Amino acid sequence: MKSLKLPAEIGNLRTFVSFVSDCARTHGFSQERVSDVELAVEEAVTNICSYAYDRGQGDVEIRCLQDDDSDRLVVEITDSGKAFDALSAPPPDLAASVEDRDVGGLGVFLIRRVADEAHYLRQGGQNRLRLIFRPS
Amino acid sequence: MQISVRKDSETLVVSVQGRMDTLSAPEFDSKMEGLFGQGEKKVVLDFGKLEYVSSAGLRSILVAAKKAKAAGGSVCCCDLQSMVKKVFDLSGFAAMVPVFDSVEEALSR
Repeated sequence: MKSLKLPAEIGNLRTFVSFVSDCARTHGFSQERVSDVELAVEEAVTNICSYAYDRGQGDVEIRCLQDDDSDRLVVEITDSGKAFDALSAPPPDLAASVEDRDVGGLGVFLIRRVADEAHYLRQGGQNRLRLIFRPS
Repeated sequence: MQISVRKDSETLVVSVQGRMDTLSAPEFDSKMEGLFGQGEKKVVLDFGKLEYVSSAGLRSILVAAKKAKAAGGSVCCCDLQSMVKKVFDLSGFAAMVPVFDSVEEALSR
């Protein structure tokens, strides 16, 4: 298990992304899957930095775990901010035109699409997003 | 992220290189804002050297497309690399914004 805990600030985004990128590479993932992990983690961390805490008051912790029974990579993203289940957000309207399309709402949708599983848990005052990636 | 701009007749070719993420997307926004402010409205986004895009980058592309349309112009994207193409497909952007295989094809449309 590897973990990284840093303040929930957008300036730390690339450090988090590099961390999971290294985990996924060490895990033997292809470049395509490494990018999927990077994307999901960017979207999740950006949400936490934007909404979880009142300015600069908390941390984000990312843990990369190896699944004992399989070659799946488990990425857990934890914060101690306001209760927020990002996964409950409504899906965007993918068929809308340029004029009608809403400029937000795609982050969580992309997490759901690139991760094989996504689970949200509120426990002990923490939000925990558990993302599971298969190698292909 | 690096951005370079060249003019081809009435069309502006904006080449974006590297990663378009939450941190770099605002730079793209201000670049495009400046270009639209100068009266440019027909834009080809050359993504041949763009390795990565997140929802923040998609938002910036959509904002640019909306501004161009409002001004009576257009934005198209070309030469999408594998990661960017996947995100365009997943997000519906591939069906919403015109996408071409190459800059040449986009310019000759």
